[in-house]
Amino acid sequence: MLKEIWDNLKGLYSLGVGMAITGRYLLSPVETIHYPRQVVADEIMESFRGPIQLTFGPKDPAQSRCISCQMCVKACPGHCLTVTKGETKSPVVWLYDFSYCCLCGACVETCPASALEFSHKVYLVAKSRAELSMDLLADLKSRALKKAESVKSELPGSAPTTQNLAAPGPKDSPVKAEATKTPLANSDPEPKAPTEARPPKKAAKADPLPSDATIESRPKNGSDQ
Amino acid sequence: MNDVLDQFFHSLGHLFDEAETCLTPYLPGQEFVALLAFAFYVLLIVSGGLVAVLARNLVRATLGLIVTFFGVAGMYLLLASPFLALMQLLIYVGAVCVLIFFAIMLTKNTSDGDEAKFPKISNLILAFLAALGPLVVAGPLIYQGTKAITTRKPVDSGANLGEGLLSIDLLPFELISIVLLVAMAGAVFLAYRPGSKEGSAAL
Amino acid sequence: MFLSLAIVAQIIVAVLLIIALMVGNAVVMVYMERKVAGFIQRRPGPYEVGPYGTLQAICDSMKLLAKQLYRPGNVDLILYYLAPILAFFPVLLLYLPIPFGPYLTALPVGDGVILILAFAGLGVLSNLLAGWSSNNKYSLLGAARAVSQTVAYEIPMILALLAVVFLSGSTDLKVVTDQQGPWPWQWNIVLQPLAFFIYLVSLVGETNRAPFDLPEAESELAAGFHTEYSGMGFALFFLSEYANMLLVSFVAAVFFLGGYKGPIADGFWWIFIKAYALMFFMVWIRWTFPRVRFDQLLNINWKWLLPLGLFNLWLTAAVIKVAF
Repeated sequence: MLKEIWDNLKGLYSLGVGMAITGRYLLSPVETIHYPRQVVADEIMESFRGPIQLTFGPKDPAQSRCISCQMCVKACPGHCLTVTKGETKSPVVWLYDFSYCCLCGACVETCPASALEFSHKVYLVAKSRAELSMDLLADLKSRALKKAESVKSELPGSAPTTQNLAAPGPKDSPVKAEATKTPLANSDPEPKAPTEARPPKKAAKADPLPSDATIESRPKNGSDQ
Repeated sequence: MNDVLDQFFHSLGHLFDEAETCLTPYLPGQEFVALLAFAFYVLLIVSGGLVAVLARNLVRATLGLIVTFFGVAGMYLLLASPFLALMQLLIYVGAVCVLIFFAIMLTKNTSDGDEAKFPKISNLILAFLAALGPLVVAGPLIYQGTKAITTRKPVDSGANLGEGLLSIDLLPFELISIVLLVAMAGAVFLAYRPGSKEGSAAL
Repeated sequence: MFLSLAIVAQIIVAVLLIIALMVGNAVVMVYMERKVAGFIQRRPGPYEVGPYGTLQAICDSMKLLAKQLYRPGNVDLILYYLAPILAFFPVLLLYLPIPFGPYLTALPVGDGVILILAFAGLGVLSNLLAGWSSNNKYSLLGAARAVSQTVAYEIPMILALLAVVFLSGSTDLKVVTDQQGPWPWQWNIVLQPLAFFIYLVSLVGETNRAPFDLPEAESELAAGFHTEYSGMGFALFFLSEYANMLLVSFVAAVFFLGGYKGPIADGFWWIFIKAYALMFFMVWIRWTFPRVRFDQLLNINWKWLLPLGLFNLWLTAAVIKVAF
């Protein structure tokens, strides 16, 4: 009997401990990233499996590694890929319907040329089904263009710390968000000849991943952290 | 702040009293209000009773019973016993009717049980005669006349009841508590089956 | 003359103000609950609608008003529509005897406590009717659980309040308030800490509030007895739950925390501050503890709170008899 009472009193004490914990949480700052005022920084998105994209070519980033072997087309369980071979090995049409994609990664695994990879487009938003049909070649070209520009214009920045998980989001950035820039919009001029085949290591640290060409643009990484 | 409120309410009270003295010839008197309340409670009791007896569905019958209990509580109020009225609500509506609800809900009742069928004519006649009985006996007594309102102050406050129960009526009080204890013990005994899982944690 | 124009006018005005209080309370509580839940879970809570999400409750209530009143086919119509109304209106009556300020009592009856206890039983009825008339096993089970829980937790509540009534010598809420002083060490909580603790636990159990919210357990019984209600019916149940919470907080403030009396100036602000502190405490408890299993719930009541309440009552009576 006394043991029961003592157990219950210890239980009451543990209840108090629990309430102290939640009370402390109540008064601590929020852990979540408050989209759209903040977005998650690219550094922690390295393992995120977003819609697939073509990898940069070894010599010319705007030229994909794809050899039009159609292995990905056959492997895809949702039949969302369309690849048309040109006169050379390179494809002329590379269409990807994200509304059928289940992000299984079969295409990425099976490509013999390592031409496909997962992008890190966390904040992809579409307002119609048509916007989810992506032209990956145009996307590749625009990304290569952006990379070339970013490599030229940025200073070698310090390595990003792990604490700055939040980069300023589109609502906060002084740069106005550019007009909706879907990968379908193909108004790019001729891609400039790349200045370097591969960016130097320091700049790579500051901008390790190609920033995704999502609908809203974000300021460059190394400078604003 | 509170003095200001005090003065405000006092002046408001004076205003209302003056308005009342002006309007007194036109307002219904207290006796009339008491009669009105009595009529309302009688209506509650009779309608509740009719619903309780004639409903097709046991749950609706219990609702009718609750309405009747409200009417009875109103009658207690008219008899200058607010404590008893509240006790009536607390015990009958709050506990007894809930118990009846449980008994209904946890038993099987189909929509074609005895209560759903219209009763036989002979039963109806017998019921009517049974209702007439108390009316014939008590009617003349009531008719001989009682005052509509009383000038007696309520004397059933908790203090008076407590004093009475613990001094004059101590023996009945103790006997009633023994009866309640026996009832509870009996209920536990009836429901308890040692070692069976059904007995405990039924719901 | 116990029925005069002044009293009638007073009651009418008081009822209107109390309705406004209940609706305002629901708005405030919805916001407070979601914000506190968010901050305890390290997230912002409602933020977009209005500055820092303050207009969220208005959007919620507009949504509930505009929703289709969907009911299953073979429900008992009268009972089905009666249940939410029966949940909402008796709570109005319960606010009448509470002394909000020295001169701000809607209906100063001498039996305030008993009135509150008597009409608290009507809320039980509405749960039963809702569960029964929904023609749904889950609702019925939820209703049965809710009723047995509410009825069970009323008893330690009564015992705790009775102990304070012993101390004050009257069931009138105003007298109980007047016997306490303005400062915290003069409140009844110092004289009756065990009763306060019992009352606090039975408060949470009485209003079906987590961790004792198994009857409306969202994850288990598919919302229990109000499963089949949508739109305005659900809103009425919701509203009556928050109004019930506020009511028992007010009663706790009056009985244990000094009512409208406070350090600097007595007034209605003190009772509101104390009641909302208790509400905040209940919200805090909700987001801290896991749900209690039903037999544990009833065990806490019958095996621990009831004997403790009786012991407390006996102790109080003995001390009063010996010392005075």
